[in-house]
Amino acid sequence: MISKIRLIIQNISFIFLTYGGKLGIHLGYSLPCFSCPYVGGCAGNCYLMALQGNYGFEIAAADVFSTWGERALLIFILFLVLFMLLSKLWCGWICPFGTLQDWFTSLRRKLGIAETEFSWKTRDRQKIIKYILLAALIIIPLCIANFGLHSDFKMPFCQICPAKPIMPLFCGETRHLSLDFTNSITLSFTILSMVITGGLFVGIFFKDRFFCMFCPMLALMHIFSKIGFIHFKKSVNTCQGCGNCKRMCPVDIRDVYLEKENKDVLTEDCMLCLKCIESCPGDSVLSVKFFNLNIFSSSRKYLADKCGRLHGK
Amino acid sequence: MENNIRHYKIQNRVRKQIEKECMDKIESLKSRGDYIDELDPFLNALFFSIHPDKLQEKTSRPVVGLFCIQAPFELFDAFKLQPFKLCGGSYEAQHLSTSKLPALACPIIKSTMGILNSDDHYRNVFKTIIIPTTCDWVVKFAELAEYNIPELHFMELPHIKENEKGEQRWLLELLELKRFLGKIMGIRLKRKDLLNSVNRYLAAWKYFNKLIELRRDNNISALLFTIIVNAFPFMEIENWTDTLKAVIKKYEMYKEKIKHRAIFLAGAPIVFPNLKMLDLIEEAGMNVTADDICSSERIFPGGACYDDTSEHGLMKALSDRYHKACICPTYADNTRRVNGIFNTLEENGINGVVYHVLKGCHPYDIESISVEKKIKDRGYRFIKIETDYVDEDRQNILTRLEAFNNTL
Repeated sequence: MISKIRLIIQNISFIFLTYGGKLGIHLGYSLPCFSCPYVGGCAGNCYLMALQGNYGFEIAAADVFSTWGERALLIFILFLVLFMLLSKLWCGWICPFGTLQDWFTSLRRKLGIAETEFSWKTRDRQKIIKYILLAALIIIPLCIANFGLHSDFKMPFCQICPAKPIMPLFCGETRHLSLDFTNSITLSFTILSMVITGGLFVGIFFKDRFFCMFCPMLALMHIFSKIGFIHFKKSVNTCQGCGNCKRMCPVDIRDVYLEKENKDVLTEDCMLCLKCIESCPGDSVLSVKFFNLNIFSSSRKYLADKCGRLHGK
Repeated sequence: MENNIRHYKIQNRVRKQIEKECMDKIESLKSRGDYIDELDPFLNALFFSIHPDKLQEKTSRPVVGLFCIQAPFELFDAFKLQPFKLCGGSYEAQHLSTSKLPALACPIIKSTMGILNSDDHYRNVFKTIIIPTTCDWVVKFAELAEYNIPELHFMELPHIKENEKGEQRWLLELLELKRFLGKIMGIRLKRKDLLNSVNRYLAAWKYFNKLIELRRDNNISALLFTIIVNAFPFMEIENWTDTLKAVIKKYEMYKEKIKHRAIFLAGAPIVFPNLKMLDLIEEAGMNVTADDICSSERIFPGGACYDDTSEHGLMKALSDRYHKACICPTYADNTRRVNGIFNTLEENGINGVVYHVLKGCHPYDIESISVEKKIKDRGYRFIKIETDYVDEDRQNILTRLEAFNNTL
């Protein structure tokens, strides 16, 4: 039931955020998801663009208290409000780029191809990458604005983000799938972008939510996750450790399974897809709450009914 | 020659005694007021627990002997094999094995060996025997029962569940089991067959869950619940599920609830026809409305739900379901077992735990000490009953259980 609702919301969000602009809708520059601004007619912009651009860290120190600074602050506050309202549901339920990855996963499953596995150690090592990307997309614009770094380094993350060449394809735009020979910087960026995009296609086909493991938006969200209204709780004393949560997690989070003391299990890679809650056979062992209001809890009966429906399919 | 004749005579006599023991138990169950005819297929299947040859005839599938609950039933089903749970419950069968075993041997092992020795033909019935290394008794079973090792397939059980090594080792064991079954059957496992089998067992779990709900509501007695679950490894899964559906339907209409005091039963397996503990608990005025016994509720600790429908993904789901989800005391860190007990006690308002230990069943005995402390610390009543398959201690146990009931 929940997975079906999620699928519907994901698909509607994808269409809305990709084509909504054509109907004159624009939700601003603060969206906490990969609604790519390079898509002609998108219904809102990914906040990472603002963060690394003129409404973020590309403001010179002298302009911090000018209207540019005010705007940047306003956009950031709006990002925070949007994030606090839905927390990481943005990633698991709304992000169009996440939905695209889920389509590839569905295709792989239909073909009966096994998902690629990473060892626990590799998975731990990967976690740092998204913070490095986040740091880069803050430091480089600061250097452009204040230390004379070449302006072709502008929007460093967007220049290598695989969403930039891929998402505009849904509007028939292919121009970002090309090399820019203007100078060595633009050429390097576009070559890197093509390599990452090619690697991403392979990655998202063989691994669920491959890109999300490196997504700097998740890193940014995690910094503010404590102030979000959505909480993901585990009743540590009633978990029987069946491991379903770990196995069903698209990004291989094992903390929910292993946690025995801390009740808050919203980890840095979690995108609240709720698959772990759906597959938990313990009544109310896992639950997601809006403040103290229960949105969805694990239930043995729910899982049994879901499993029962698989027979004959 | 004379020795052979004597051997066959003893074998014949004990075989008849085993059959009588089973038939007597079946008759006593059938004569209960709450017995319904829909349960007949389960009792018929339980009769096969002492006749692997007849089970083979009935299902027309090669039979695989199986210890414990760690080898995935889904895998056998996918290979069109019929599992036969070797863990024996017959007291009479022990007459054929006592002389070959240490004095304080596990009654389950004694009984199993006795059943297998009750007919020389039985050894040839099994296509193979699968032994997950859960305890020393099953590890040494081959040696004690004088089986040739190549006839058997051991699955080395990692005793630590919550680390990557344990997880991977068990998955490798399952993949090796798949290869082994493919080899002895001369076929290659098809992904679709495995998927269908997993789905069949998931459907069975759904109805098993409904049965547990009935049990929690005191709609079905522990004895009848146990025969349904005990019959599980001797029936074809869709047949078991369909029969269970019919039973649930009937009991849902059955308005009269069991008035006995609800208790939780933990500990060693209870295997047909030795249902002594359940008989005595009932006689003492209590009803087991929940348990964590591997021959009962724990036969399905949860569904092997999956997302990845590739063969590897399904094997991973089975690996987790039969390893991580299992709370057998053989594992090193088993705090989650106590979590499960507390959870069930709280949810169902049960305040007494009867802990069943079979003399010689070491893992359950060892863990009883820590479980007892934790349960008593939380303010619940706890009693440990140590017994085996003999009938002589019935009165003694009954008196203790009645006294325990008075404290609840």
